[in-house]
Amino acid sequence: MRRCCLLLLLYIAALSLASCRHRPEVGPEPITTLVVRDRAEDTGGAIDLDWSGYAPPPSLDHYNIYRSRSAIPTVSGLRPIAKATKPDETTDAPTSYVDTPITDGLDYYYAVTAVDADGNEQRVVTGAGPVQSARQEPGPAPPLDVQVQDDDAPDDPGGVINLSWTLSPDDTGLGGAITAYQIVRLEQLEGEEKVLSDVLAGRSTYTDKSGDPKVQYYYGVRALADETVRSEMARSGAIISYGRWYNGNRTNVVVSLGIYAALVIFFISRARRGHELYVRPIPGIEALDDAIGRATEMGRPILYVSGLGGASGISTIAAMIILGRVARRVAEYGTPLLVPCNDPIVMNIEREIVRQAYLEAGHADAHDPDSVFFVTDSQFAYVAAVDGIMLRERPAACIYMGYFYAESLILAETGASTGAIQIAGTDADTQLPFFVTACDYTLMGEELYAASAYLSREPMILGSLKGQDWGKVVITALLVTGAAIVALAANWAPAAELAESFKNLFAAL
Amino acid sequence: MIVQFFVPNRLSEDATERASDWLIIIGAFAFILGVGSLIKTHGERLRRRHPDWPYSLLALAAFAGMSIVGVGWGIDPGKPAFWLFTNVYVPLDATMFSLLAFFVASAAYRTFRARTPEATVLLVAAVLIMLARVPLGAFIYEGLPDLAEQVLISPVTGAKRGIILGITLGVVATSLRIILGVERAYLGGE
Amino acid sequence: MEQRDAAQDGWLERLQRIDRRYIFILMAVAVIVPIVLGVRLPVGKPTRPVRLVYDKIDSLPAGSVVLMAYDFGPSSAPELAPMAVAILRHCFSRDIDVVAVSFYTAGPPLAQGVLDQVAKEFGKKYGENYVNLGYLPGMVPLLIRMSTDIPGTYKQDYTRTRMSELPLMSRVRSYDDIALVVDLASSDTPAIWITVVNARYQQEVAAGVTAVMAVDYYPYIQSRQLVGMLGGLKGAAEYESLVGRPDEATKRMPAQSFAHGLIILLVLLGNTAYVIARIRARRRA
Repeated sequence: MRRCCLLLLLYIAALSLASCRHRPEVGPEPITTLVVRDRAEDTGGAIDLDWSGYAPPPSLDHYNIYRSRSAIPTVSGLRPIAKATKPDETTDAPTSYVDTPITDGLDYYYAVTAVDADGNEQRVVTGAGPVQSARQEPGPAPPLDVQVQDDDAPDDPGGVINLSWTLSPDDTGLGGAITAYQIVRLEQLEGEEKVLSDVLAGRSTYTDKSGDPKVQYYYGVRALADETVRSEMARSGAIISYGRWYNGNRTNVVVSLGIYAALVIFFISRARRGHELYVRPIPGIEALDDAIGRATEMGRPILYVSGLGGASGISTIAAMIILGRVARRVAEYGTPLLVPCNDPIVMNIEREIVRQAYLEAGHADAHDPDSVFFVTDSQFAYVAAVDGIMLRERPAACIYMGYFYAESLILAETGASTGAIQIAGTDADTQLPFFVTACDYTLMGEELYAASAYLSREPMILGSLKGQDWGKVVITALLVTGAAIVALAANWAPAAELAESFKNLFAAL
Repeated sequence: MIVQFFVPNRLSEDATERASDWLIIIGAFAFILGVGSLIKTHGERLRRRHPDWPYSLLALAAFAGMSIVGVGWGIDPGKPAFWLFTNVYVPLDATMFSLLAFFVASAAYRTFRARTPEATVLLVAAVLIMLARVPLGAFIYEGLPDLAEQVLISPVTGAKRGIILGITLGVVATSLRIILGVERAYLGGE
Repeated sequence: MEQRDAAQDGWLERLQRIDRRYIFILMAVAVIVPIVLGVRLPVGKPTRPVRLVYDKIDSLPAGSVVLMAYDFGPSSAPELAPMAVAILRHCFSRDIDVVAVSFYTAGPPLAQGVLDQVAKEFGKKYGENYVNLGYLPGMVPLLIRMSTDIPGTYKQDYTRTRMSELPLMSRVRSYDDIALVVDLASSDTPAIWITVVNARYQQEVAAGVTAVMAVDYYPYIQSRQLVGMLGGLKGAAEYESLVGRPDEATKRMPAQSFAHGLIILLVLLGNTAYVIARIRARRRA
């Protein structure tokens, strides 16, 4: 085994070294005639590139254009900022490009490479630069008084800045001299600009949601007359945004959860003090023991399907809890158990649960780890497999607990055709009708979550169940009160304000 | 996720994203265990010549075939794995789903009996909705689709909301029990 | 007399316990015959939830962008693909561009097939009028990231083309650039779109769901969290009639009609036999 691993490692190392060896440059001849200059008679922010002195090969597909703030000896590790492609099959690719918008006054370096039809490109280049762009023409009047403010919405995550400015004097609305405003962001006062967006003329506000919190930014706004004619930049002062640590809009949820948690904790403490807590009988849960007994008598296995929800789904967790109880009984009676799984994480958890159940029942030697097995994570392939198991193994009892999708009826009908007793429990309300019609017993929605309390009869869990029920009473009371208030407001104007206040207590988050 | 719901700060958003990424990574590793279980289960059946061993051979062959074809030639459109997906898996998946049509018919026939008043209400509502969801319903009576929609919007939606309310409270209670450590059975112990 | 009673009781008993295999055969016949014979039935007046979606898309100006989420797999494609085709036809006929995403692994190839099919009818170009961004895992974090930077979230599309090479993506940066989200789903993804995208970012969302799930989403239409909804094959057929191009959904509705009719007949038959048997038993008692 150790020798195999060593050989495998050596093989992988050899492959890696082979892929790293230096390969000669392939691709069209490098471009050495690149000329870069500031665009003449413009309002800044544009650099002209020209490589018309280059003789393109017949296999040329397009040119890649690269830009950097430092010299470019090689384009390895750089991404092209643009491509100059052939407009059609008969016309050559252009040999010039205008890079805009860029920041005036900063040094830029450029390189252009030729790429052939196979995607080959020489990485070592002769770059050009440094070049700076500058404003030669005055352009339109800039906007005024750029103000920035940290967004203070209750759900502000940070990095959201609200900008406002006074319109440019040349802005006469849509169709006028000014077509748009360009919003830029800088991390240093004289640093490189990042263009965020263009907003239509006539607008004087913008919200930047792409910043990072606790980072200082400066903002600038320019008036644009067209794509290449722009005004001076009006700058804002420095701004740092901070996110909120608490979303005030969700206070109503906190209060509701608090009330609910208080009820649950109250009843748990009552249960711990020995008070008897009545819970109504649920036929489906009581039938679990009968089902296990029936399977034992018939000498046939029990099939347990824990649904198609993932391990993080509460219904799957509830199903796993019930599996633990079922496995304990099954271990005591020595009944075979089959647990086909749809999710590998769930499979691992359920294996541990079943193993532990056998251990606690004192029958660790009878435990078969392969009774819990992975089938597939594909929905209908899983259903086909489980149906096959049902028809071949003929379980005496089929238990479906967890979250199900459209496959619920396929499972239940196949189980019914084998004559098995079927107990289902799901919180998938769309599948409840199918289980109700096809299964002998169905745990509906919250009964699935209550099953753990019923099976264990632990005071603390029973207490939480009571708390849950009283939570429902509170909600029902609120629903009835709300409906009464709204009905009253529809017929009596003075009650309208009360109805509005009541609705706002539960306003959208 | 609970913290992120109440704390909008970018830090909590980033932490939630990171946790989600970790979940995906762990899921990928757990998948390896799942595949191991699949191979082991079917391998054992082959080795022991279980009565249904041909099905296990088929399962392993399909698994190996798709894996080799996918890894070897890629899964992009035009590749063999894509062809197998669209011409084998997709029709099989649709076939399994189509079983529902037959099972709905047999289940409805078997169980929709007017044994009790509640069962009668269920029966009448089911017939009404089934008729209204097809042109046949409008053909029989023009106002049937609107009537069915009213049934769906009012009593059915009301009942669903009640069930969903109960489910949501059950989820919160179960989550509280798990978070507070009251419920530990899913960890494999009492 | 007793013999006749026993024979009739046996007959009633048999009517209540028809072998399921006969039911399967009848169902197969009920579905196949109308398709083979090409039976056509009128779809009827479109219902309000469908009309809301149609009116919303109809009100969008040319050049708007609709984000379509293909959150379904092959098993639900017969119900949801016709919806996708009808909505795409509506969008392309009004020069509305479409960006497709998917949070279901099997969604992107289905999306690509439908998009290419309908785009060809209207002469629309990939990259300029429609883009398929493909599948990425982790729905909720992705939806949050898309609120600020959709190209940055995806980086490349389903065909591995970079965002910078897709002209349409230069004007789709966030939800601000999207007029409407349409989620075609066979699972509960519309609820996630509503709670994350509509609630947080006020992005309008419409849904196309399977018939079984449609009931779950009526409350969202009532509260205007959903613009509208297409439910099941009938919803798709209604949308096809609104767009003026009856197609697959309309062709399949007669089969669904016959199937429903068969189920109703069987239920009535079983109940008739049950009721008669009960009356007879009571009389004898």
